[in-house]
Amino acid sequence: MDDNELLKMTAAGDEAAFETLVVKYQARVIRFCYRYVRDMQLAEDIAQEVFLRIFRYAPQFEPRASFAAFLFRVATNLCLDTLKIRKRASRRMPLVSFSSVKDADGESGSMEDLIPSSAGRPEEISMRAEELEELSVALDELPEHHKRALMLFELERLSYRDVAEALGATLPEVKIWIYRARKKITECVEKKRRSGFTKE
Amino acid sequence: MNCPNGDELSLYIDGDLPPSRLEAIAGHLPTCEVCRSEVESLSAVGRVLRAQDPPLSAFEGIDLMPSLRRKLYGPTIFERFLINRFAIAGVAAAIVVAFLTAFYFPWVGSGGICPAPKIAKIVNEVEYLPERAMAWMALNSDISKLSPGTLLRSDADALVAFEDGSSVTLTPGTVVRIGGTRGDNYSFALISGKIYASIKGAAYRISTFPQTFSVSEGIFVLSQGQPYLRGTSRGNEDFGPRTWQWVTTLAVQTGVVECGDDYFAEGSRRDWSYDSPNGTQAAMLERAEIGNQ
Repeated sequence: MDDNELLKMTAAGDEAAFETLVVKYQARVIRFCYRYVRDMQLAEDIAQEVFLRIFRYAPQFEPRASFAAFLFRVATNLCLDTLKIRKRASRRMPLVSFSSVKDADGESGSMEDLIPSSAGRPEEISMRAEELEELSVALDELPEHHKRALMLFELERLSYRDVAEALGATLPEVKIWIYRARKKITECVEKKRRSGFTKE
Repeated sequence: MNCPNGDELSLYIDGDLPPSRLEAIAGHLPTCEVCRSEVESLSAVGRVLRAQDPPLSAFEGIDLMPSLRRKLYGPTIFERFLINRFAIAGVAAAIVVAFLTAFYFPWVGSGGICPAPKIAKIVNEVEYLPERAMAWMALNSDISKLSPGTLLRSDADALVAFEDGSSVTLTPGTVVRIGGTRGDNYSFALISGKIYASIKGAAYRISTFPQTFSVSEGIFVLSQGQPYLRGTSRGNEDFGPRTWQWVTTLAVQTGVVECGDDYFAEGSRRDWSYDSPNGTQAAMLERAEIGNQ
């Protein structure tokens, strides 16, 4: 049974269907929120609110896009609202960082610890550890909607169409945003690399 | 083929181009170092982002459903029970009542409040005390205003008379312990180690009672000076069922009396002559009194 069908059942008051959706997506939503707020407890709280809203607005859901698009649209809006409320300008929040994070057991640890050792292929990835900070800086320099689009596309693996739906943008807009985000990041890193060579 | 635009290369990475265009670019890349480098750089962004993203496993141990259930559906019955102190108190009270009902007030049942009385562990071999059982206690004090347990020192005017003509004169200095009182209908008192009933307390003087009542038996009980009373009356028109229920309750609290069932069915005012036409009940009560002293 696909997600949209489960959402329909949720709208009809089917608790089991709702639970299926929650179980399927809760980890992703919490992680998504965590990227914004960098606070595990707050991320959980927001994720909870996301699902509450999904439940309440399920009857109004129009399946133009996927359930995931609907879900992450709600999540994005709530994260941004939270950041506003907390007066944390989202551009000052690094999209990614090595700040400590609590794992599922509540234990703190370095973000690096959470990265699987097999993640990425060093020989193919021109940017690595010492450059990741540059990546964060580059991300910070992106326009907010570019960054959101990139996150949803690259990290949540939403389709272009779903990203457009989640961000309330058009498909061409999203495509160009993602391209520009990629381009900007590569330029920043390349620029940094060149300046590094110059210094050496 | 001319070099594709950067945005087209970005779409090429994502496979979001028509098949013919994808093929054309794929054929172009091996021949163009610039485009190949561009594709590698653009595609590296996503990989690096994912590589440094916290793994999903770090978030998979969190279950939002319990708290969601509470918010959506409210606490479960059990949770509601736990957080509701009043419910706990109510249940505790219910348990106590159930316990008392089962072990202490066995007369409370579907048939009514108080069934026919029996005396626990009393054998019918005691002296038969027929008319003596009913006593009127006369005091000059307004008993209805006295609290149970009050010690009242009688004066010469305080008399206790029995229907058989006998009486007890409370000499000055006799200590009377007031038992329960209920308005001006009846009251109890302990005199010389025995508890007596004063019924229709508006007529405390002995002389007024015989004219207004034809109570032929009754009196009661008796437990170490506690104001518990068991009374019977054939002429109970003046007593609503509730009155008798209460009196009966007091009696049973002594542990002396056991109740059967169906005595005051549905609040009726059944005549208490039910099981005492031969005075057995009174005699048994008297025996119980003796046994408790």
